[in-house]
Amino acid sequence: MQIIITFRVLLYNMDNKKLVDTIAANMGRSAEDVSKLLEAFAGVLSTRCGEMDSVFVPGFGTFEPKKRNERVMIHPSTGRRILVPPKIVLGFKVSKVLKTKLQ
Amino acid sequence: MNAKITFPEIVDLIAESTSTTKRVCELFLRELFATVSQSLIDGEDVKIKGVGTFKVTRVKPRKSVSVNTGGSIEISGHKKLTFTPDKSLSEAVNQPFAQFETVFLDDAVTDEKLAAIDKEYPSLFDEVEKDEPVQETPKTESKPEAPEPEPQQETPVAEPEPEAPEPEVEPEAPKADATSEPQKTEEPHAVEPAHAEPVSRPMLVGIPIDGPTQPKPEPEPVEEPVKDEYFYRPAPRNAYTPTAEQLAAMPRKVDKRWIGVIVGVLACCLLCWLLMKGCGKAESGAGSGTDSDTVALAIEEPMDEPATVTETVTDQNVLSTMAAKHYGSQWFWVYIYEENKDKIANPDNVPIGTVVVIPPAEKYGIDAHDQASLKKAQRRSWEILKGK
Repeated sequence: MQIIITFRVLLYNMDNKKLVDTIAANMGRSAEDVSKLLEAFAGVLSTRCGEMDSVFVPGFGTFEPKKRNERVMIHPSTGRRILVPPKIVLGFKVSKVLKTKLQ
Repeated sequence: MNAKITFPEIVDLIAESTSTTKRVCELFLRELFATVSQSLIDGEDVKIKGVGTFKVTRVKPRKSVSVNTGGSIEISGHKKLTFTPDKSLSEAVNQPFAQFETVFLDDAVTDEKLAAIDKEYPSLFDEVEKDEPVQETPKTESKPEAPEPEPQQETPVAEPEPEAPEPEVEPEAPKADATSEPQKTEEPHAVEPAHAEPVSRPMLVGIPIDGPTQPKPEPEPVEEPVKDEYFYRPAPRNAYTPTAEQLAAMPRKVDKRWIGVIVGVLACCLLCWLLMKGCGKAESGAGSGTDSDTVALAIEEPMDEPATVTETVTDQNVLSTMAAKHYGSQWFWVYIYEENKDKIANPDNVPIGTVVVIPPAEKYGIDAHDQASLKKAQRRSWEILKGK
């Protein structure tokens, strides 16, 4: 069963390598260049979102950091109350174009 | 801050960091998102290193209530795109709050107390509050603030009063003060650093100071339990703005601490003096008896001439009894034997009348309370007896 699942994951899902290869083939450039560009994009995303800026990609969606306030919650297994600290999480909002395409 | 970065800007930034042309970057980005979109439409999950995972999940149709009419409607099933940021990316985004950790709350911390703190400090993120009216910060309810004042600001003001009468009491009972004073001064001390440097150590504020460690019941019991709470606030919120009287109180507190230290030192000096006096008396009162003579010598000798403590072997007084008497354990007889090897041929059979020198305990590292020292002596004694 496990083997079948992993096989399916390998076959159907797009991991980093497969993505780089696909883009490289479509662009007619080497996979190295493409992976460098991809890393640069990740770097831009992390620095800009680290400064609370949102990154908008037309036709795809918006990456926007959101502030989450601190809150008290109950630990699921121990039942003790814990105070969860405030944090900033990166959210992603799908653009309308992609949303309709997905259906 | 809060700017929206558009597509051309991303292209510029990437071109800058990889030193490639803008055209290539634009082409790449278009290709990237076209590929990702196509994969998602095909129902594949996409994982991008350093960015995260995009996943399409199916949402089942569910019943809901129409907001306008109140009638029940059915939300049809659809597909939803979820994005889980990569660990490195989410850490980079959460950088400003990285120092916080999840904390277990004490049972003593009740919801009312937390609500009181919430009222005391406005919410962490003002923007969030505006977005979510659910956040309970009613401005009209200012009444509960009065009975539950903020602990950190209150204690420094309240503290000096109960301590004030102490300097007068000190001269009469210096010993009693010496013991109680250091503990007392510690308490305001523990609170102070948090005020002094709220930026670097915001977590320290409100570290629970438990009841048992307190030397005396505090005069203001209402505020004490609040101190037990363990809560965080970001640095700016905690910023401590001492009032004029608090500032005036601070140097006085330092003075009191010094008084405590001086009193303690004085008490120690007094104690030492008394002890020495007692010793002198014991020495002068010592008679001509051999037993008391050796005892007095044992106390005095280590200071000037350590090697002159001697014992005479009798039928009642053998090496092990001497060791027990002088060192606290019979096992240390081995060291007496080693010191007098030239006089003693057989440690099991020492001739009566032999005068042996008792070495000072420091010479062989003798300590009856130290297990390692005892073990060493035991091992040594077995070796000696075996060698016989």
